[in-house]
Order: sequence, then C-alpha cells, then structure tokens
Amino acid sequence: MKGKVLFLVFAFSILASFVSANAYLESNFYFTMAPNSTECLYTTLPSDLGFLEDDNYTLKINSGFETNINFIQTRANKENAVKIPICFSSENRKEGDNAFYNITISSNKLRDYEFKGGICVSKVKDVDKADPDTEKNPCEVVNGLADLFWFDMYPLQIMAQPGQEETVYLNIWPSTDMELDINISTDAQINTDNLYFRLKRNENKPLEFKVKTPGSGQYYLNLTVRAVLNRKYCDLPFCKKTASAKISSGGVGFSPSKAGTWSFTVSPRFISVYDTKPLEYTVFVENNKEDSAFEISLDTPNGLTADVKDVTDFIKKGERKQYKFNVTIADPNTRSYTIDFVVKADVEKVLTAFLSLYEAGDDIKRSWDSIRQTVDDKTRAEVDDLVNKYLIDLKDNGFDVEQYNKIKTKIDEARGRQGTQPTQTTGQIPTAPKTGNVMDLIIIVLVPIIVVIIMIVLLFARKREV
Amino acid sequence: MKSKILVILIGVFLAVGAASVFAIEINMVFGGSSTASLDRTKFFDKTLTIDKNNLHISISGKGGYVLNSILLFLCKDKDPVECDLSNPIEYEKFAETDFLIDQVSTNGKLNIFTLVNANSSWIGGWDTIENGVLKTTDIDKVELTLKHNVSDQIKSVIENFGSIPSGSISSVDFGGRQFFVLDAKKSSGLFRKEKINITEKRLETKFVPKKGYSFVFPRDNIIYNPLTFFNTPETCGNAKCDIGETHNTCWQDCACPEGLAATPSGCVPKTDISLEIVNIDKKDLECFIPPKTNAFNSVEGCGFFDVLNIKLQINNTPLAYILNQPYFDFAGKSYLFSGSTCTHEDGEVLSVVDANSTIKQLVTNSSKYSCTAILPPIEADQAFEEKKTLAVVFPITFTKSDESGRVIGGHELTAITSVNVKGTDINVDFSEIADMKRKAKEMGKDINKLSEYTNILNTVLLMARGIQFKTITCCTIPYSSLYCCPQASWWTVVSDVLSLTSIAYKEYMKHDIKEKMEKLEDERDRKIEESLQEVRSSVKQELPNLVWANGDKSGGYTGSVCGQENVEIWYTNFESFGCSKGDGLWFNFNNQSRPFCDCQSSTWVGNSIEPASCNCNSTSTDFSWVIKNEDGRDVGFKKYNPTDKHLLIKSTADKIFQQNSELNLTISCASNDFGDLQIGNIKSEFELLNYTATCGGL
Repeated sequence: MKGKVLFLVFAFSILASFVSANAYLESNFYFTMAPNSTECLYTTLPSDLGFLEDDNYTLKINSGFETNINFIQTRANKENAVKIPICFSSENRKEGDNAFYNITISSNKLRDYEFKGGICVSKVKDVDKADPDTEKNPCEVVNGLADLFWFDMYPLQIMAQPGQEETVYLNIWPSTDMELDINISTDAQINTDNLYFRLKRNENKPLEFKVKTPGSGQYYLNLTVRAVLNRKYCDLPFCKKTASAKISSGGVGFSPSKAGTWSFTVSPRFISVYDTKPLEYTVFVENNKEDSAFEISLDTPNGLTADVKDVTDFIKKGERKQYKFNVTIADPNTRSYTIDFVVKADVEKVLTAFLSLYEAGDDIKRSWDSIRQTVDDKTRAEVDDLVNKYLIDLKDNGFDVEQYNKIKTKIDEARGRQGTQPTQTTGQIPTAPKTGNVMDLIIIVLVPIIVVIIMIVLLFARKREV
Repeated sequence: MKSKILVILIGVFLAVGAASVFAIEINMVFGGSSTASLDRTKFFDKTLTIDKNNLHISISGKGGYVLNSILLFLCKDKDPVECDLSNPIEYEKFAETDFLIDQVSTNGKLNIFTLVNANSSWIGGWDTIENGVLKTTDIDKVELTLKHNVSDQIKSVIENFGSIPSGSISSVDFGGRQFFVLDAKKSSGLFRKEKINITEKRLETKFVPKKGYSFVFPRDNIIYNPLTFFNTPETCGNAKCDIGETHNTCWQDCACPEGLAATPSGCVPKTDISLEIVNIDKKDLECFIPPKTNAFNSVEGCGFFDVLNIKLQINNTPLAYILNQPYFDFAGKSYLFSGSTCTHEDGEVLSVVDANSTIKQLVTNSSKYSCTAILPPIEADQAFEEKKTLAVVFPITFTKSDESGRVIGGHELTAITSVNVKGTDINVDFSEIADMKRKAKEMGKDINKLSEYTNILNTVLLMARGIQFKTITCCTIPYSSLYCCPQASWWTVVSDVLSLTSIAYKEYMKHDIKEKMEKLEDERDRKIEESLQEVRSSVKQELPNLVWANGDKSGGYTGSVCGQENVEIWYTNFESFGCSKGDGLWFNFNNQSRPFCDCQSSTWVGNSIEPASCNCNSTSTDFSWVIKNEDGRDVGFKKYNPTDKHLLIKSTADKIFQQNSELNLTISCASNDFGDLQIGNIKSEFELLNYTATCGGL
C-alpha cells in the first residue's frame, strides 16, 4: 500500500505532461508559462472575429509581461487572411509572478473586440477559462480547479430587431454526475423559465431557447449555472459559472452568427476528466451564407485517439448541424491535451479544446507542494497521508467534492499556521514593481550598522564619563 | 566594392524605402564563365514607409506574379541568427501593415526579415531601421563554381525563380565575406498553405549545400539581403522535370533514358535491379508421409512441419514501383505466400486489391521484404532426401516518367535458393492385420458349416425321439405290443446314441473350433495394437511434437472487426493440454464466417452479433477463425511450437470471425474410429501477443 502511495505521488509529480498554452485568442483565457520562456496566442484576421470584411484591423496588446508587439494595424479580408502571433515573454520572471493581459481588436466597420486573460509564471503547465467577473489573480485561477463542468452560451452579442426572435444556444458537459441549476435573468422576453436537470458524467446537454426584445435598446441576458453534488448545492468557486449576452435591438447590423457567414462552437472546450473512458466532443456548425460544403476535422495530439478524424458535409443556408467525435485517452500518463477543431469552408476557423486528466489531483498536489517544506514535521506527515489517500481515491473513484474540499481546507489551515501566502500576487497591468527584496536588504544591512554605531557611541560616552 | 546601399533618411515627417532595384550579378564558373542577373523586384513590390514613429510595410505581387504566402519576422536589434524566427506574422496574399517603431525596436534598431513565396520560390529580404533610417542592401556580386556544365539551366532558374539551385554548385564566393545561413524546410502554414520553417541558424565562411532551402545573408559591417539557395532534392519529387533538373541531377522527376530505371542512386540499367534472398530461417526441411488413417486424411503426399520465413532485398530498388502478387515456386508448382503477400520492412507501401482480387502494393522507397511461406505437401509415396529448388518471384511494374507523362514498364525479379528436404515415411504395414481378418473370416465360415451339422444332428435326434415316443405309446396297447415294444427299445437306443453324439459334437465345437476362433481374434487384436504402437512410436519418433486435435474447445480474444481487414495473430506459451506436454500442437480450424460491417449504416450484414451496431473505424469484439489454403481448402494441419512467438494465421477477418464472437480454435484429440490416435482432450489457453488489422488490406 505504501509503495502504491509513493508511486502515485511520484506519478502525479513526474508524469504530468501539460500542454503548451499556444492557442487561438480566447476570452478569459488564463495560462501558465515557465520562467524565461515565450508563449504565444494567435489570431487569424478577419475570420476569428466571425466576419470576412475587407478592413484595417488594429490590435492593441496591453500586458504586464513583455510582448513581441503591442500594436499592429493590418489590412485583412476574405482573400488575405493574416495570422498574428501575440507572444509573451517571461524573461527574468520567477515562479508565481503573474499579470493580466488585455487584447483589443478594432476596425473601421466593426465594434471593438476585447480579449482579457492572465498569465502565471509556473513550471507546471496549465490553462483555464475563468468567469469574466473573477476577482482572482491569474495564478489563483490556473492553480484552482475550474473544469468540473463545461458551460457556454452562444452568441454573446445579439443584434435583433424589436419583436424578432433570436435563438440562443447553451451547451453543458459535466465531468462527473451532477445536477445543474440554471438561473436565467433577462429584461428581454424569453421562452423558458429557470432550468434544473440531472446529467451523467460526460453527457453533453445542448439547449436552445428564444429571446425577443419588446422595443429598441440594449437588453441583457445573464445566466448562472450552479452545480448540485450529492444533493447539496456546491458553494466552491468551480461549481458556479456565469455567462452574459448583450442584446442590441433596433440598431443596424447582425449578430456575428448571422452576418452572412458561418460559425461553429465545440462542446466541451475546457474540461477535466477522472477516467480514460471515451469522451464525446460535439461540433456545432451554423451556416448563414449560401449552401456550402464544410470540412470538419480535429487534430489530436499524441496520446489521444479519435474515432473520426474528419467529416465533409453539405450544410444549407440557415441550417445548424452537429458532428460528434469520440476521443479516447490512450496514455493516462499524459495529463493534459489540446485538441484543435478545424472547420473549413470558404475560410478556415480553429477552436482549441483543452482536456486535462485528474486536474483536481494535480491542483491539490501543486497547492500542497508549494508549502510542504515550510510546515512542521507533524503537519507534513499528516497532510502527506491525506494527500496520498486523496490521490488514490481520485484515481479509483473519481472526483468527490467533499473530499476535495476537506483536503483543500486542511492545506489552507497548514498554510495559515505557517503564514505562507498562497501565491505572489500582482494581478496588475502592468505588473507592479516589487520592493520586498530592497526592504530585506535595508533590514539586513542597515539595521546592524545602526546598532553597532549606537553601541560605539554609548561606549565612547561611558569612557568619557569614566 | 560596388555595393549598392539604399539609404533613406527619415525625414522629419516622411520617408519611403523600396527594396533595392539593382540586380545582383551572379557569375557562374565551369571552364569558362557566364553571368545571370538576380532581380527580386520583378516578382513583388515591397515598400517600407516611415512616418515619425509609424512604420508601414506594403508587400504585393508584381508583373503577373501572385504571392502565395508572406512571412514577416520582427527581429528588433537581433541579427538573423539571434532572431527568434519561430513565430512570424503570416499573410495570405499581401501585406499592408503598420507598426509603432518604438514598440517593435530595441535600442533604436529594428531588423525585419521577410520571406515571400512568389512563383513557387521563397525569396527573402532583410531591412534595418536604425534611429529612423531605413537600410536595405543587396550584395553586388556573387561567384558560383559549378560541378557540371549546367550554367544555362542555373541561369534560367535564377532569372525565372529568383533563387539558386545549389545541387550543382561546388562553392560560392560572396567577395570573401562571411555569411549567416538559415536552413529551412517547407511546412504547412496559414490555411495549410506552404510555409517555411527555419531549422538551423549559423554563421559560415564556406557554403555547404543542404537539403531544402538555405537563406544566405552575406555580411561585413552590414547585413545584406539574403539569397535563396535550394538543393534539388527539395524540388525533386514534384513529378515535374523542372528547369535546372535533368535525369542526371533529378532522376526522381526527369525520365531516365530507355533501358534505365530511377533508383535512389540515379538511373541504373533495369538489368541491374535484382532480388536477393538475404536470409531464410531454415535450409533443412522435413516432411512426413503420414499413416493411412482418418487422422491424416487431409495430408496428401509428404506434409511439411515448417513455415519458412524469408528475408529478401531488392538491389537497385526503383524509387517507386508496383509489387504485384509475389509467389514462390517449389517442387515444380507455384504457390502464394502466407497472407497472399510479403511484408515490407522499410519505405511506404499502399496495398490495393484489383478487380481480380489480386493484391498489388504501390511501393515507394522500399527494398526490404519479409515473406512467410507455408509449404504445401509435395508428391511422395516413400521416404526420400533431396535438394529442392525454392524460387521467390516478385513481379514488379515500375513507373518511368518522360516528357509525355508516365509510362509503365514490367519486370519480374526472381531470387533462387535450394533447400534440403527429408521426407519420412511413417506409414504402417497393416497386411498382417488384414491376414488375421481373412483367417478369422475363414474360421467363421467353418464354424457356420459345423453349426449346420449340429442342426442336422439335432433334427435327426428330434425325429428319432419322435419315433421313440410313438413306439413306446404303441407298446402300451395290448394287441400291438408284440410289434411295437421291440421297436420302442430300438428307437430308444438310437435316440440316446444320437443324443450322446450331439452332446459330444457340441463339446467338440466348444472346446476346439471356438477356442481356435477366439485365439485368432486375440491374435488380430494384438496385431492391431502392435500396429498402433508402431504408428505411435513412429509418429513419436518422427514427429515428436505431434498432437492431433479435432475437437471443439475454444477460447475468446479481442480484435478489430472492420470488414476485409488483414489479420495477423501471434501466439506464445500454450498450455500443454495434457496431450503432449511441452511439445507442439496440431490445429484444426473450424470453418466459421463472420458478418460484414456496413460502414455507412454501421450495421452487420449477414449474421447479427452483439453489439448490434458496428463501426468500421473502431477496434472491438472477439473472433474465431478458419484458415484456408491458396486453393480455398480449409487447412488445419499446421505444426506450431508451443513456446516462443509464432504467427498463427494471417488471413482476413471475415474468414476468422464468427457469430458468437469467440475464438473457435479446435484442438481436441480425435478417437472413435479404428486406426486413429487417441491422445486426450485439449483445452486451448493462449496468450495473444499481437494483433494487427488494416482495413481494406486484403
């Protein structure tokens, strides 16, 4: 048993092989990068915006970390796509350093697009998609568990005419059996009430409903999804996800999905699983241009296999079709994967899905490792045992929220006792300058000098008295 | 030095720089010399415009040249070797882009490396903006020393493609300057269009051509625009005999003259292409002529134990060829190899089945093969020992391109070797048993005859007893006693004598004839047992690993069930089954058939099995098999060593799959009929080592 525990700890420590953050632009995308390395995000204009307008597109990048470009303005259109790498450098950064980034893409004809996210310097590779209103710093986001279930809403920008129905699509995909409570809040008219349903692990649940605006103006549609585990509302941060859509009514223009082009979504996109059973990915393609042939394919990394690699299909104008791909983890020692879903018609678009295995174990292990050497022997032995048991149970029985919470609390208590902060947080744009080292220098060097001077003065004064 | 430096000072408001409009003079030396002019501006327009802190870059095709891709590398103050060239900005057709100079420069310096794909060639540019001043410089003169007199072709390539084919160049002189070299290979970029990946970076003084592209930046106190060198193999293989290519420099694309075939080392005479047996795992083969018993009914002639594994190599292998169904000649007859084909050990092979169900392999860069020959029984009715010729034949069809297209030429490659064959007759003489049978039959006849005499005697005795009874009855009547009483006494004596005779005869039959008969039967049985022992002993002696199997035990295994795939099953470590501990086994394979999977509807065609749906792309379920020989006859008579690894069968899944998804290998022992060898029941326990399946392979 002890051998098994040691092996498991070793496996969780050593075998974790995480994906690179190299990905296409994504809202609320957080990633880690090793110290003194470069990681790039990519965008292909104009297709990544859902438009194919011939226009001058301006990218502005604002980040606490150095980037290859901060500003670029380029002409792009349907015939001349431009792929721009946005590369972040962590040169002279150390473990735990972090910063937010903000990338805006604007053009003459379109509204501004904003992609926010964060970078955490860590030797352990990880990516996560956070809620837009998260108050955590990037390291807290990537170090915390976020992928218990996948939830997305499409589209997030709806251009409608008063009284005209628009369809909103939801996709939910849990990595463990759970019930989900969806609270819908909107000032527009909607054809559904709040929803509550039970889902089995890895079961994709596509939903759609109609929204309608009574008049011109701006409307909102906010959804909050809460996970119910073991018949209890889970209060942990990763058990709740939100999504907001803006509905502009009465203006000129179309929703991105209806702008004479086509769009696609993938479900799930960010998910962590706790066994190696086949996973079903669903690609939804909506065609709002003329009838066309579409090629839907996926690029799987080593260690993943897919039953179908590509599908060619004909989709009529106004039609929305779904394609399923069964993906199997062939190598359980590889713990994280990126799968590029590529849809090609007149242009090619890419969406990257991030899949991790036993993330709740790696998160706990990472959290514990960050303080393990700083706690007393008794606490170390106690928490070691708990962590090892947790890792074994996770592998044997899957994710259990109560056990996760218990071990997390235990680690936080241990951290509280020895006074260590969870992670070094800057969370600023740009990163705030750090003065801690200078203060240490002052205390270590100047204080003893002052003390010595005072002693010499006192000694001299006493001699004079004598 | 006649360098042409284009320096455009940034004005207070505006400065515009265009790429150098001067052509580079390229001298080619081979005996005499000739000159080519490299003018990159004929392929595309490139303009860099500086307006205060703004840099506008404009690149577009020119003069009918459409650009296929543009890569833009921002190198800040780094030289080509220091610059991170892994993440360029990619454009599909043109670039119209603005940067803020202070944000993309370091120490007031911005180096920009551009790669433009025009007319199927990659042409580079190196621009430097330092303190607002744009510098773009072409070297004025380059000297190429050629290996062959191909200056006309090279000049044509330089002037039409803007790049220099390096395969025929022995040295390059950039006026004694050092140079940066970026080696590169083609890859797939934006929308799967052609992209260039820089694979190696270095500073050099001597030019060494490498496979693929090399972008060479001569340098002294400045860095010049790069020249593009490409080595022919990078272009070779595009199935076009391009400018600058000949059958001597690029035989991959340019047709070899008549009588020659393209090989990795160039055009060689077709007669130099040969097939060689590199290794054959057994040279001394043994076969046996089996006893004439039911167990060996399926062996006609001298049956072999051995499966030959033959390694072959094609010398001077053609670059690409079609390998038609290979076969081997043995003992005067031709046979297909196991699995109907041979396995390639290098290169790439695409197997196809033509309308006649024969297998063809489209082969590229493959010369090594492995073939498995299951030797069929050969004609023989008595023991022998002789050398036999084994010839392996590879009928190939190689392709030859010429100006008018692809021409097909056929060729048959044969490799011959000899093997020693020892045929052992393990038949047993059953004539004595037959003689015993005859004697028993004759004795049976005698017994029947004697039984007939007994019946006659019994009839006469019965009649005498009847007369005796009548005369005794008559003797009791007063007026007839005088006549009857003496008669009664007489017939009483006669009957008793007859009765005693019958008893004596029966005793004689019992103790003499029947004993003889039983003795004869015992003798026959003993002879049969002796013959069986002789069969067993000769089988044991000559076929020490033989276990006869003919029952219905089975075991299940998993594997792919995609229709028509080629299946290989390897095994090791059999249980001994109690039949012949530690020895080999003989197998029978039940004749089973599996349903096909309809790939479109994902349902089984033919028998339905569980699960109800099937998937042509997934691996699943179990199987059983039958193996058929080349004539379509079931073959279950193969010897396998129970240890070590062996190929059990190589067949198509539709022949090995059955309804209940179980491996139905029959290996129990036969009994029942007179003459068969009863060894015992067998249960199969295998360890499946390897399973390969290729959809559509056969």
